[in-house]
Amino acid sequence: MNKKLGILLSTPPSDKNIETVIGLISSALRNNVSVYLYLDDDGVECIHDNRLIAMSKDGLKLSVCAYGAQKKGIEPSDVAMFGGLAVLSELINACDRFIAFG
Amino acid sequence: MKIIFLIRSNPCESHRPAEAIRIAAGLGTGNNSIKIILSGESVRVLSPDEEDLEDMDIIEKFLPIIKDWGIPLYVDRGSLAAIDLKRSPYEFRTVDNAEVSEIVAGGHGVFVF
Repeated sequence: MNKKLGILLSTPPSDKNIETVIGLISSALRNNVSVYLYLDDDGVECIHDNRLIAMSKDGLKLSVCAYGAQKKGIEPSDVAMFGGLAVLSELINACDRFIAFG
Repeated sequence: MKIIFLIRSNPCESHRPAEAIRIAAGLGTGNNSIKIILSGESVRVLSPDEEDLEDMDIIEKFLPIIKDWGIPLYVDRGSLAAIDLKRSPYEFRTVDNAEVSEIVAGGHGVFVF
């Protein structure tokens, strides 16, 4: 069974964290690691990043904090799963490694 | 899972301490062991004298939940020089840098806000 990597991103697209996260996801997917990205707080705005959208078609499991999305006026779409902290809690417990970028 | 929240943002300028408190309370409902470390200006969230913090309603809603569930709060000793928490309604333990490092090292996940 593939290793699972969970990532929390809570900073906006203007922060350099997005570049690190994209590099990390790209590398993990190339190495057959299952990757779960949860966008929270200002990080929900990264849902519009075309690189993340493309990677979601290549196996990245993308989740977005529904509360944060609502605050930012981001409409639910089929690009990601929109869920609450229960989703984040499940991810933390299910993944072999979990890294937070805040 | 042991999850550590290290909150350093200034709640007078940023909503991030409130968001951290909301997430900590949310994750505390699962099978997670949560610890919260407050450092720098973020310790203001524990003060009864602060009335103009960002997302004050979130802080006022979720901090009592954290208290009720017995989620431990740690305050960086160095942060107390400028902020008086003697009248805080919340129990907390004062820690130094070495203890902060120890707590962080003991977590499976560390969220920095």
